[in-house]
Amino acid sequence: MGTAITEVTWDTGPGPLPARLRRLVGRRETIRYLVQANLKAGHRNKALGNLWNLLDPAASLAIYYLVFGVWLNQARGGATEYLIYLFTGVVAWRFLDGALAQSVNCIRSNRGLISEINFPKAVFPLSICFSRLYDFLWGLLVLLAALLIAGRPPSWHALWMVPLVAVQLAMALGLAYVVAYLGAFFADMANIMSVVLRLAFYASPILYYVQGPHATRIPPKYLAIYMLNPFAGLLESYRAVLTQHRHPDPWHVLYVLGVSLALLIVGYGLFSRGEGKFAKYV
Amino acid sequence: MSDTRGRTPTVVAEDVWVKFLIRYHRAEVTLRESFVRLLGLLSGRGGTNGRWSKEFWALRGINFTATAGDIVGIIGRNGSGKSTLLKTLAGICEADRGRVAVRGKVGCLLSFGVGFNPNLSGRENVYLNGSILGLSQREIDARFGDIVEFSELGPFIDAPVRTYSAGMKGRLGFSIAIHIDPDVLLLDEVLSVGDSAFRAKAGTILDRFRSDRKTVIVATHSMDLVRTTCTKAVWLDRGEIHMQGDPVTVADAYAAETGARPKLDDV
Repeated sequence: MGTAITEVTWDTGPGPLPARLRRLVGRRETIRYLVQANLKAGHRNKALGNLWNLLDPAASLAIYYLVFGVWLNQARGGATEYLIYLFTGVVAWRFLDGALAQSVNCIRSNRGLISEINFPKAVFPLSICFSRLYDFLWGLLVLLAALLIAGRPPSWHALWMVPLVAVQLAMALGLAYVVAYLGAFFADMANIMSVVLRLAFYASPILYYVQGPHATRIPPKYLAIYMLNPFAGLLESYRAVLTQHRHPDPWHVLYVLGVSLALLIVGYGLFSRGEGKFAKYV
Repeated sequence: MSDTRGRTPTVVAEDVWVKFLIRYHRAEVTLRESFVRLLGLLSGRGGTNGRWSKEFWALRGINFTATAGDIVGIIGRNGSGKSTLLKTLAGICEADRGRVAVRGKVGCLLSFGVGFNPNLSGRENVYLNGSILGLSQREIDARFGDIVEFSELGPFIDAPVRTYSAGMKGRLGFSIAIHIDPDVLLLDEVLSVGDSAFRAKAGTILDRFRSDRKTVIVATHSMDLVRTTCTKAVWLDRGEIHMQGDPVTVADAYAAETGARPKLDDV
């Protein structure tokens, strides 16, 4: 790599897009170090260490199962089926939720580096999303093990997971850029985010069924609006390919893909506008 | 002596203006005031000079050039724009008007290791910072021994940085900054970290940079440093260049006007 910069001109403005993307790709190693630091710093100094990566989702799974599955009778279609349904939703949600909750503060929490060195700040949301993707992939492995134990091995439809996870990464990254940009200039963004995320959590098919015989009754005219939530379509696609052994609904996939790419373009464009300003305002 | 004619400039600032937005934290912002402000913003009359925030031009029309072999001392009182000038030259802050051009690799040390991640060890921070400064892993591997040796951290390199003293962080940061082989080195009053032995070592490094035909720009309150080491001095006053040129002349004029103020660290 070497960065043998022969002539650098810091003109105003973020520069042309291809050059910016090339610079970002050239930062692969920086991103790797940031991901390592992120993953390491998470549970350092804790007695149970990385075990928390397992304990934390397991605990929320248990709570949701008791409250929604047993008490609110969502598990009437079968405990195993509901647990697998819940687990898929919770693991995928944690990827998005974790990425956004961290990204909203990423400029402020790296204030020191930003005020000391000139480099593309776009590496921060990127490395946060990769860290949460890493956790997500471990979650999927646990889900795979659970499916095997439950005697429901996934079929080859599960290969759909590769493009679907890529789509979720694009969605998470696009949103991460938006919230990172806003979070840098407005401290209130972290609070707004936590409210919006809580709303989105309940507005997504994580705790309750929206399709099949045990679906929570959503009137048909509202179901179309409900499915405008791109995360809902993505979750239903995950479940189709992992547990229902079928292709995902193509319209869901196309819609989620379109929204995610649009978010990525808008988010990165917005964030780029802040590159030269973060150091001044943070 | 700096004679810029016939030499390629390495750092050029042309009519550089940099603006900050100062936000006031008001304790008693009422709902009504917020509403009035919101109306103002919606009608497009809010502007940036409201009651809660104000524009502040930290640099106003800075013109200056440095060439290979120059050691430029930036002097001026606290708040005169020294740090902002260095940050703008480093590309950290965007110039709102004007143009900044820097030829070559920039190394900068603008504060006492605030760029370190406190929970990572010194070693991990060297790799992370080195990478952010643009070095590959192999290049950092090759320099790692020298960086640790110069920083005099010894076995503490594997301790978390949050356990370091300010001097230790400053030494490690300085050591990284000079070992990335920058063509242009920007330093912000960091030579005052460390004990006198370390400062002497840092001083010889500056001389080596000069003989290697590199460019160093250092913000400082030490007129001794300006007189003995610098080839050129720039005196900033309220965001404008008050005087620039021969270091001894500028340092004498500055000392005369400020009445030989005691040395204060500038953050």
